[in-house]
Amino acid sequence: MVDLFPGMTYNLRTSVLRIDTMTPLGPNEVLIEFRGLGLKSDTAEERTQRVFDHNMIWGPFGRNLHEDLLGVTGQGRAMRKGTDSRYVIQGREENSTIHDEVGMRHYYAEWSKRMGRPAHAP
Amino acid sequence: MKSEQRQAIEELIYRSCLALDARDFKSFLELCDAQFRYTITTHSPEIRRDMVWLDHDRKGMETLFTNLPRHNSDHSPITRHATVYTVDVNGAAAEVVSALQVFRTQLDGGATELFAVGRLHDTVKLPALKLAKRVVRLETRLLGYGYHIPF
Repeated sequence: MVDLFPGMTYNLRTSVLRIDTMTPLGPNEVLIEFRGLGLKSDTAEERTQRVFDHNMIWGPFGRNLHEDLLGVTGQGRAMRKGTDSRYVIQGREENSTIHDEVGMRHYYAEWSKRMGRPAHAP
Repeated sequence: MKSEQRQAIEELIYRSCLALDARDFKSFLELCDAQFRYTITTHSPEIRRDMVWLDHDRKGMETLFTNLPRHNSDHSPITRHATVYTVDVNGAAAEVVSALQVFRTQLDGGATELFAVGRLHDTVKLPALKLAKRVVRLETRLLGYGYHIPF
């Protein structure tokens, strides 16, 4: 997975490349677009397998994206002003693995550098 | 087709919905033939293509159900409301078309919302009365953060 500051992610899993773009709509709202890419030269059989691979991980009934969006949605609800939700999910791994928060920290460090002011007190 | 046969086919469809609603996957698979195939499709006007969101044979469905406890899933219950529209018997099989509405009740708060609408296109093997094929053709294309259990 490669993050391109400030709002693009290249995610390669199984036979599919997924490109995500994040577009800020306001202080509390962001538009995220997910695009799964295959090869134009795919045979019908290869394309079917690629679609299967993509949707098995990232489709509406896939195994992975649901877990991620469930976490994001739950946290967003719990942290919203005036919320009555009770749960915040916290999960992390160390040593620069895919679940390490190093990505988020890098984002804020880069933001601070480019904006000339600290992200923790913008 | 005798009315008893149509009634038995309708009950098979309804029992399949009840079993999935109850997350009783063993009972659901017992309603299915050994050659069962399950597919969820929808048409995207944005890309002018049919999309296949899920496609499994019986073994794939078993694996999907078996692995569910290993995932972090939305445990908000969903209820499938099916209405059998047509039953066409053709020799050793019946083609069944049903309307489908899926409602989700949020675990946190208890609000119920319409989650998806579509149609079930089922092939029922006769006289065994087993589901040989289910194609869920959804009209709904925006499912929020999705769901781990097939409709």
